[in-house]
Parts: sequence; C-alpha cells; structure tokens
Amino acid sequence: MAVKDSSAEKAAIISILALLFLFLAPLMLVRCQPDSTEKDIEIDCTWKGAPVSANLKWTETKENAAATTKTDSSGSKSSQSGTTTNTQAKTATGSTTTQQALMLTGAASGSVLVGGGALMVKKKLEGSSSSEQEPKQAASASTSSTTPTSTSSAGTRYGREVMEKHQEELKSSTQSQAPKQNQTSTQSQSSTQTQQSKQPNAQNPPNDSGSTSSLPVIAPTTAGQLWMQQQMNSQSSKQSDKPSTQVGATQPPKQATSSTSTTSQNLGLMASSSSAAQIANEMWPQRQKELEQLAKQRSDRSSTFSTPSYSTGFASSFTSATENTWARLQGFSSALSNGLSNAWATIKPYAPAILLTAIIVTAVYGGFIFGLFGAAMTGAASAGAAGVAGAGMGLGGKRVS
Amino acid sequence: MDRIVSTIILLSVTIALAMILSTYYTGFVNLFMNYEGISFDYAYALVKDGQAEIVIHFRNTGEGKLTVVALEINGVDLEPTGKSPFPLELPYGTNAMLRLHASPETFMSGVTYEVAIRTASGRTYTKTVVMP
Repeated sequence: MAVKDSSAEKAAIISILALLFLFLAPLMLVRCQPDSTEKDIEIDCTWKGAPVSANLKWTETKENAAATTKTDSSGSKSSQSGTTTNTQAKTATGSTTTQQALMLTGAASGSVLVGGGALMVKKKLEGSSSSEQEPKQAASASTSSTTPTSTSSAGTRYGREVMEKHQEELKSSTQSQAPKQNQTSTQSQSSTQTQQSKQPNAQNPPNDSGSTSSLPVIAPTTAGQLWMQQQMNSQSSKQSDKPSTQVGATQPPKQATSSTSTTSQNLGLMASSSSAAQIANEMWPQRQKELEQLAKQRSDRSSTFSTPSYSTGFASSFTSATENTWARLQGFSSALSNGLSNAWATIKPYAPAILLTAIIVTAVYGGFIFGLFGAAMTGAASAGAAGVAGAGMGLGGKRVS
Repeated sequence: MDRIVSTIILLSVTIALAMILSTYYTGFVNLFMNYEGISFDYAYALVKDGQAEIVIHFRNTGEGKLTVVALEINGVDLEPTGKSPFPLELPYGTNAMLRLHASPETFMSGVTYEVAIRTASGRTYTKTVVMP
C-alpha cells in the first residue's frame, strides 16, 4: 500500500509540475523575444521625368528578416541601424510568439497526458500486482523454499498439470477417503513442510523477487501467468465447495498462511495433500529433464529479460543472450504487446470520457468556426436578398408612378 | 487520489485537443480567409531646406507579409533608376514610413498629391496629402 500511495503522490506532483510548466512556457517565450532591426531602403527614381527620392523604413525582427527577401541594387541603398526598442515591433512578433506558445502548450499538454497515463497505468498495475504478490511472498517466506523458482511459462504449465491431476484424484476419492483424512491431514502437515524443500515449483508460483532459477530463464509471459492464476482460482473455488463440506479437516494450511483465500493458499491446500506431493515428486524429475532439454533447444532463441516491470507492463530492460536478431525482435515484440495490452486495459475505462470530451471540444470549436462562416454567408445572402427586394420595390414603384 | 489524477488527465486531454483543434482550424481559416491590408496612420507634407517632402506612416494590418511592387503618385509610377528594388516584403504587423523627397518644382505648393502603394495582389492603397 505504501508503494501505491507514493506512486499516486508522485503522479500528482508530476502532473502539477507539468501544468505549471504548461502555463509558464508562454511567459518564457514572451520573455525570449528576438531583437528587432530597423530596415531603411532608399530608392532613387523619377516621376514625370523629375528626380524623386523615396525612402522606405520599417522595423522587423530577426526571424522576419531571414524570411524577407532583401533586394539591393545599384540605385538603392540598404542600411541597417542598431536595435531599437519599438513597441510596435513587439506587436508584430506577437503572432509568431503566440504560435510558438500554442505549440509549446500543446506539447506540454501531450507530455502531461502521456506522463499521467503512464503513471495511472503504473499505479493500477502496482495496485493489482501488490495484492497478488504479497500473499505469494508470505507463503514463500513461510516455507523457506530453496527449490528452483522458475518464472518460465513451462513452470506454470507444470503447476497446472499437477493441480489437474490432484483435482482428478480428489474427485475419484471423495467419500472413501473421508475416515482417513484426519490422519492424512496430520501427516500432510508434517510431511508437507519437510517435502516442500524437495518439492518442485508447483507449490511456489512464479515469484519475481524469488530465488534464482537453475533453469535457463525463458521470457516470462504475463498473460500465461494470469491465465494460470485464473485457472487455479477457479479450480480452488470449485474445490472449496466440495471438499470443505466433505473433507472438512483437510484445510489446516489455511491457518498456517493467512485468513484470506489467495492463490498461494490454494497452492498451500494442494501442498497439504500428500498425494499431490507424491505426484509432484514423481513428475518433477522427468519434467525437469524435459524442461532443461527444451531450454537447451531454445537457447539460441531465448532472450533474457530482467524482472518484468509491473509498473508499466514493459520489461524494464532487455538483454539478449543471442546474436539472433529475429529472436531478439520476437522477445521485444512480445514484451511490447504485453505492455500495450496492459496499458489499453487500464485506459479502456476512461475511453468513453476521453471520446466524449473530444467530441464536445470538436463540436464547440467546429460550431464556432463554421458559425463564423455561416454568419458571413448568411449576411451576404441577406444583403443580396435585401438588394433584390429593394430593386424589386424600386421597379414596382416606378411602375406605379 | 485516483479521481484527482484522472481529472488531471482528462483536463490535459481536453487542453491538448483544444490546442490541436484551434491550430487546425486557424490554419484552415487562414487558408481561405487570408487577407491583405494597409492602414495609414498619418501623412503630411512639408517644405524643408528647399526640399518638398511627403511623409506617410502606414502599417501592414493583413494576415501575412505585404509585398510592395510599386509606388505611384497621382496615378503615375515612380520609376526606379537602375535596378528596381521591388518587390519589397513587409512582415505582418510592420509599421513603415515612406518619405518622398523632391524639389519644390516637382511637388508644387497647394497641389494635392495622391500617393499610392501597389501590392503584389493587385490592390492599390492610396493616401492623399496637400503640399503646403
């Protein structure tokens, strides 16, 4: 929660600073007006055969001087005097300054928008990830596991398989195991904690701040992890309906961790079952070999990401373990797509409001501008109609007379 | 805090959209309604040191630069001797001063002179002075 509050404070502070910049930028531009120069052109000419000397003098800024074509000829002299203070010149540069101020203001607004959006995404993702990660960290800390903690999708798949097997086993042995479960529960309590050090990663879901993995790290798929959590939650909710009434006493691990029902507790429930532990023990060595083989096969394509930044959804850094450009691009594009999907999921609730605001602003501005056109057209039309009517009345009057 | 941040974001979006739209529509209007204009501030004529002088102060009040292609007096062009310095471009909002020097025989006392500034758009802006 502390992280959440600090990020919100940061968002507010940065937004305020950006708004301050937004309003101060035009003032800075006005203060940084360019110097003005005075141009003086003398033209020797004739008028009706008599010599006349014309002298045209005006003041312009340096910006305008660059844009102005300067024509010197043998018959004309051009001279530039020093900089002069001319209030009219400042008026002349007003339009340019206003345009620059508008551009800068637009850029500042855009930066505020991007920054605020990024911070919103960060805050939202931190809020969701922190609530999910805290129980996991607590569970991993309580078990003090030294088993490999894999962040790869293969690990999640393995965990899913273990859970599915365990669920099938629970379904098959519903009422027949009821009298034995008090014993197994006590055994499982004692055996689980001893076995957990040997058990594979299934009981420890992917933990970003966990221990290092002995396996080659494969690019983490956030979507895969989320899917796994959803699967486990749905399965555990199904299990909690059935075994809670039938098994009853087979849920001591809940007391060991915390009172809230989280994914880690569901995994703890899984770990409490000795059958699941056995399955895991049986499956894990073979699975580990498969995973290692798979990782070797993918070693040329695997790219190592740093810990994925849940703040923005993008990987905070990307280092390639291979020279294969295509593999690097694939890894980067997957991280990018994950980040974009997360950002869109966060911004999506605000999309109607943004769209509505855009429509209103467009309507107001469009109405104003085209209203001016309309007024001009209406004025011209009414003037024409009045002219025609006047002409008609005049003609009619002549006829009458 | 969420509401504050979301409000700030919405305000920023609104401001950004307003800026974009105003720039767009301003350019759109300027494209079709860019007009040229000169406003004469004042003009006078005098005889000084044996020279007749006509002084005209004017300002470019159009929406863009003003391109002067010729000067006329009473409908007769001033013909530059040598290479013509025209066209002369005066930036937007520029205040300019035009001085015409000639002998008293050229600009005779009591005669009304109509000085015209012809621009590249074909328009002619005139100012009348009477020699004292």
